[in-house]
Amino acid sequence: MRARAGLTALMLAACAWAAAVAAAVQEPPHLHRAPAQSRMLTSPLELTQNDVTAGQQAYAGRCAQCHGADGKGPLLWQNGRPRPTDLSDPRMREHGDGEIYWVITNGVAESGMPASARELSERSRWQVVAYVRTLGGVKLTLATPATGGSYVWDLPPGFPRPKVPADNPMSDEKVELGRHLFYDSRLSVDNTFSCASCHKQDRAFADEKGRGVGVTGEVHPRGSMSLGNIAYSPVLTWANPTQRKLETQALVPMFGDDPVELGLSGKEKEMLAKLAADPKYVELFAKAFPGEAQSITLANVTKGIASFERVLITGRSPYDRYRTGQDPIAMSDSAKRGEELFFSERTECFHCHGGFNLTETADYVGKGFLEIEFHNTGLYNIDGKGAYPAPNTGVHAVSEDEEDMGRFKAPSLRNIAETAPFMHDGSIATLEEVIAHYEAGGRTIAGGPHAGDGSKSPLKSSFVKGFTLTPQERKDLVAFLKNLTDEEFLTDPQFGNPWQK
Amino acid sequence: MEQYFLRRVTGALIAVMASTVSALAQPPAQVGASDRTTPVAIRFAASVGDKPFSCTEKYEGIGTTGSAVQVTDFRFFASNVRLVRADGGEVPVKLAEDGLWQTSGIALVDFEDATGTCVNGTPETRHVIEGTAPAGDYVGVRFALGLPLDLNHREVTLQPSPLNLSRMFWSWNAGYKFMRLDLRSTGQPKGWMVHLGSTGCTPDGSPSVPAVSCKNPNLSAIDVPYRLGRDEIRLDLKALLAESNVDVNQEKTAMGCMSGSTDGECAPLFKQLGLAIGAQSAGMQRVFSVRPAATTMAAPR
Repeated sequence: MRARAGLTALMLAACAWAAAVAAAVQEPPHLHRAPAQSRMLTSPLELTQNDVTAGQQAYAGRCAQCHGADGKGPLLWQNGRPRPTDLSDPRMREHGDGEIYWVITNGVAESGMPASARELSERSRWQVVAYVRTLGGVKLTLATPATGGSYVWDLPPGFPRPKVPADNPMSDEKVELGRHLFYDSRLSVDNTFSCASCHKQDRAFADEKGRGVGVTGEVHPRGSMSLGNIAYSPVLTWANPTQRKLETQALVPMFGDDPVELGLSGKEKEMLAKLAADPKYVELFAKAFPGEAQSITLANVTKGIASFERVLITGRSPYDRYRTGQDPIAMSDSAKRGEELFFSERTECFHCHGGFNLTETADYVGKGFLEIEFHNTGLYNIDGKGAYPAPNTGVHAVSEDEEDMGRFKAPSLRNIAETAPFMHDGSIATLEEVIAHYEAGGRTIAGGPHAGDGSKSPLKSSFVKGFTLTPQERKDLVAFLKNLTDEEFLTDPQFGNPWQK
Repeated sequence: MEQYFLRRVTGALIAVMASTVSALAQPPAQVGASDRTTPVAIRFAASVGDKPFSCTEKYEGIGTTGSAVQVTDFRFFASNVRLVRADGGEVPVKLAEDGLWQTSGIALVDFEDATGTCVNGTPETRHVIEGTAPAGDYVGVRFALGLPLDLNHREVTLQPSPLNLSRMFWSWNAGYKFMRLDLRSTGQPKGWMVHLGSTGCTPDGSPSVPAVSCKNPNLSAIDVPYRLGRDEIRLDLKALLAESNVDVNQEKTAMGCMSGSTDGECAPLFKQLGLAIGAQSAGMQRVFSVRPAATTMAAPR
């Protein structure tokens, strides 16, 4: 009996001690309830002091009651629920912004932490995230005109501000670095190819090939896409819903094996060494990433390229000059009639190619809801069930979902006349033929391995329903599409090759 | 997530309590955390049938056509590594963090040494998974061939080694190749690849999160008998390719198998790995086996 009591006492003592030790070593509190994926959420804000102040105000109104003005929470906590997270705890730094955002948005069930998705706007929640960071002693990098951090966009009239990932704020120095990298053939395994090999300025940063060709001569299943206004694209490439950031997408041409494009797989050290050996890059990287001792890294290469891509903004076409009233005679009467046709229920073009960027899949600062669309346009129907020829099966190639067969992104139609041949695989040579395809409500291929009547595809978008134009109307529509070319963009030296003096 | 955390905290509590109790019960001379854990080294060797694997050899009699192949790359990721006790219970191996081969509970095993045909490789090789586990008698090893979902879809350039090795990036699919075995065969001299990884991936949850969930995780569960300090796990290329015809490639699919569920080259490979694909259901893997470690050979690292 006494022995048991002694053991119990020992156990209790051990428990108390163990609990104290466990409390000291436990993980940062509460936020572990955010799903791992929330780490990948990045703030759309280019933080300024105003954002932090707004975050503080929102925090005072909604968070301070439980977390305290200093984030440490109340001295006593007796409402029967878990104690609020100590936001001043240095271990808060182990949590990503996205995790904090997620918890603010969704709350934590049963802990008493309420969801704020309805009470605070998305912007406001990100501002609170920034303020919560300061409670943990984090020194935020703020964009201010004085430090040159606040990027001044050169936007055409009526264009919204592009969203920029919080971990890669814009700067002129990064854009300049990115421009050098974009045009540098040292970014390929044998120093023969650069990004610009398939994204040519005079072709609106697409090329004249139906399908891209990489450094080994391997032909890409799809054509290179125009990079004009890519900053507004919330989803990248033709049909990959998982590609969301230019920084990440840049890795595909660099390191892809299927197909090989720049052929750098396994060669990242050599590539970085080539860059580090050039004093020009030592200077460019140092300026773009001040304060980083080792700034010539793969992550910074992608950040530089992405920054340059984001400034490839095009919106000074005759259509824009006409539309914004700058030049009422910028478009011919024929093109004006084409515009009316384009935006009519008769042709339905605008349903997928509407908006300032002539694609419905566009995102920018102030856009409330993110919209990403992929459509099957009846280009193929090999088996009567809507099949597209492999490997170009659209989103299906990534999701393996039969419903996704043949679903591709509707690209922006800006500068479209410069990017022939058309469609994801370059299978239509001229704008006139593209219009014929949509008039027929889908393409019919009479013979060969791809034979089939696309207009009868069960997977086709309901907007591709077919229509009939007169010969003059066809000409009008083509005239309109040709007026989407921004000549300035095709020749602007600030987007040109910096290595050609 | 919450339950997982609770389990971890409870586990930690019990472990700390147990060690405290045992520390109090034992003479002070034996007190120390090191008494409770043992270093673990799980050794691997790659072979082609009975021959050791090398980047400089040409191997004949491979696959259903008896093709001659040369290897141009050969590595894989392992995760969720566990030891199996005699009673069938298992304990996780706490993987060492060495800043190069292992991080966050995952390990890269790398057989290529950048010689011969492995031109895009690294000279360094790795034939072992290292870590610690509670001391005990163990009779087996279990691990997953591949990476867990939460590590598989992060920003690769910002990850610590080995998750920043570009040869293992599978960027278009927002993840990594779990295993990379690249070949040249008699009939496919330009290349015939085995790129194992998750497929059927779509964004998950909030539309602004690029995270994904994958229809086909394609994580092969490896479960082999193993005696620490005495055995090595053999990965046999010949067994992996036993039912494959490496001399052909189905038209309009990736060269070899890049885990596409309709790629004809994948089914026989997945069968050997015990993985389900298309109409084929999961089964026993036939690629990893165990034999006594070569005693004359210094254990390669």
